[in-house]
Amino acid sequence: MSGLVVRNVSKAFGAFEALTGVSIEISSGHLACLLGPSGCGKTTLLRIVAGLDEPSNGAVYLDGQKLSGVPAHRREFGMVFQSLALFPHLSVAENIAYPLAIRGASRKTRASRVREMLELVRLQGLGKRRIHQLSGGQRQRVAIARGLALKPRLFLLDEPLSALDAKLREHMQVELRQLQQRLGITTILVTHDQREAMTLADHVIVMDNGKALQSGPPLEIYRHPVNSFVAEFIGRTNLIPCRRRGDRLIVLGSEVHAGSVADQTTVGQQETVLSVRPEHVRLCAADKGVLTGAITFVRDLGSEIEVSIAVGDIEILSSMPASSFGGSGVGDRVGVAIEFSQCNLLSRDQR
Amino acid sequence: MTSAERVGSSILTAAIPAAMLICFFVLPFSIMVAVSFFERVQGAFFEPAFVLSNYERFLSPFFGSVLATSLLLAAGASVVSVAVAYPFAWMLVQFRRRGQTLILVFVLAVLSLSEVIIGFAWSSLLSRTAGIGNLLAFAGLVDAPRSYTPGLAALMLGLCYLGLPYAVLVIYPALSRLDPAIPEAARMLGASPLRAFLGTVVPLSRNTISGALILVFVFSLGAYLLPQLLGRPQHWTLSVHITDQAIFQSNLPFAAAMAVLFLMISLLLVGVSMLLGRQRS
Repeated sequence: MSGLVVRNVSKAFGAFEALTGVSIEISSGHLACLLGPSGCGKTTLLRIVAGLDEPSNGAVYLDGQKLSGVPAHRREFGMVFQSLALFPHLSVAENIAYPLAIRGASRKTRASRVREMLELVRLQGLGKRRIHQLSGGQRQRVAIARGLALKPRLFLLDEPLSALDAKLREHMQVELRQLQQRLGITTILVTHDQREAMTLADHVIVMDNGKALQSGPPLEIYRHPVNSFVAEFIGRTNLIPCRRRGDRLIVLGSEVHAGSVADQTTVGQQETVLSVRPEHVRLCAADKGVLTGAITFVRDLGSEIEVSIAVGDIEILSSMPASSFGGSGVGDRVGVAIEFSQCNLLSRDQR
Repeated sequence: MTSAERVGSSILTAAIPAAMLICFFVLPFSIMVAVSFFERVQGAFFEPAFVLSNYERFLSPFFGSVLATSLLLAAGASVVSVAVAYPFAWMLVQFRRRGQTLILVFVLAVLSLSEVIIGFAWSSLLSRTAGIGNLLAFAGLVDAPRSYTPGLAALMLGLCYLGLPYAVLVIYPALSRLDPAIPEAARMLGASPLRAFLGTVVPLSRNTISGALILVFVFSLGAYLLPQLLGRPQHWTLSVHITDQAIFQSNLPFAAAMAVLFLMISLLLVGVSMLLGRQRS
């Protein structure tokens, strides 16, 4: 297969297992996100792909070629580190030209490539600046330009945007995605931010505890998470414990026809969890809904309104466009309608 | 607190270090400068006067070569110490935290030994009867044990042994603060591990290296026991001659003149090297 294949990779640091049997595939030209909470092993996996760490087990292949034994400096990959790792003793242009200088490129080739890269990341005319004279966003761009200067076979980014403020981060996400699509470079990006993953990725790999839990296009993972961890990590969700009785489902004391729930990956299990996205929860008159509860909090975000409803001892979050909010307040008793056809039945989390 | 009190307390805070500086540095140094112009009285001590003969005596080929020896020995010791300490500190930084602390404690423990103990320890280690020559002979590397002291090599070894912990002390913190991703980034860009090290870590710690060089240089200039214990008379440094004049020849004015000149020349050298370092960065 053309693209990157990680086959059954494990990595142990002493007694601590950072990765256990991770296998992933990334088609060439795609942007894949390794997504997971901190300490889930995503940076370790990226470093193994980069060649900075060796796997304890398993192997990495690029376009069918096994990468084991190829040292990092011969892999011809571009990488942007979390700390950016720009060289403070060199100018912006010298930073970008570093990989060319290493390979003995002529002064002319270097200068023209630097100009080209500065234009690509829209930093024309800043080549002579020192690194400490640049803003956070500009440093970001220099790091990206340096990583791409050699037309790498694979582009690796380790939480490159985490140091930026929220607004600049969103802007850089879009810019990075457009750049990657224009160049068509196979890219792996490590992030703990699910919004970032949804914005950028063709392919998301959700990781936790050193394992790859689920991989696929972001929307597919959003709609069909394989377990409650993934459901909670990708977007927000209400996890409602329920119990199966024949072809009926007992949800907080109310009976529903189980067949109406879209995702039935847990057929055969009695105790399951129903994952309901907030946008699939509607408010209605107290006697009309599947469940009844009292409003505990209303968050008015202008374009969108979020309502928390206490049903039994469970808090259910509903979100709706401001236009379809009836104007109920805290303490009101309301009915809760759930679009079961959009929900998922998941196995109880075994973490 | 009223403003007058505040001014008073700030004067007090400034006064304590100023008083210490005057008591322990300015006064003794002034006395030494004054004594360097006094006249020596044969068979007695010295009496106040203003003569330049002490400085004139220094301007001879003999003391010129002594000065050159002192400076070259100190420069050699500082270069060798830093050349050993730098890679050592870099390897130390790669260890786990606990290991780092343990090794640092061992290295810095050398600082608790006096120059006398270190000198005598090396002179017996390098001797023919009890030294490492016996180990080499036992291992069959040499035919018969021989003495390696006194000599230039023995003296350099002793000076570097003294200077190394100081060099490590200066270099280690700078290297451990360096972002480990920087040499890694160079490797990702195609530099071999050695080239990444020489192209990023070394230039980024240039100021640290020159700081360590200057520190060990100045420190080695002051060594006066090791040249006598491990060196031959031609390796005796100016510090040895100053001691000799002051204590054994009772010629305090001449010793003071040499000390003043020595201090001026060292300060000049350190100043020039710092100026050069600043210009380049």
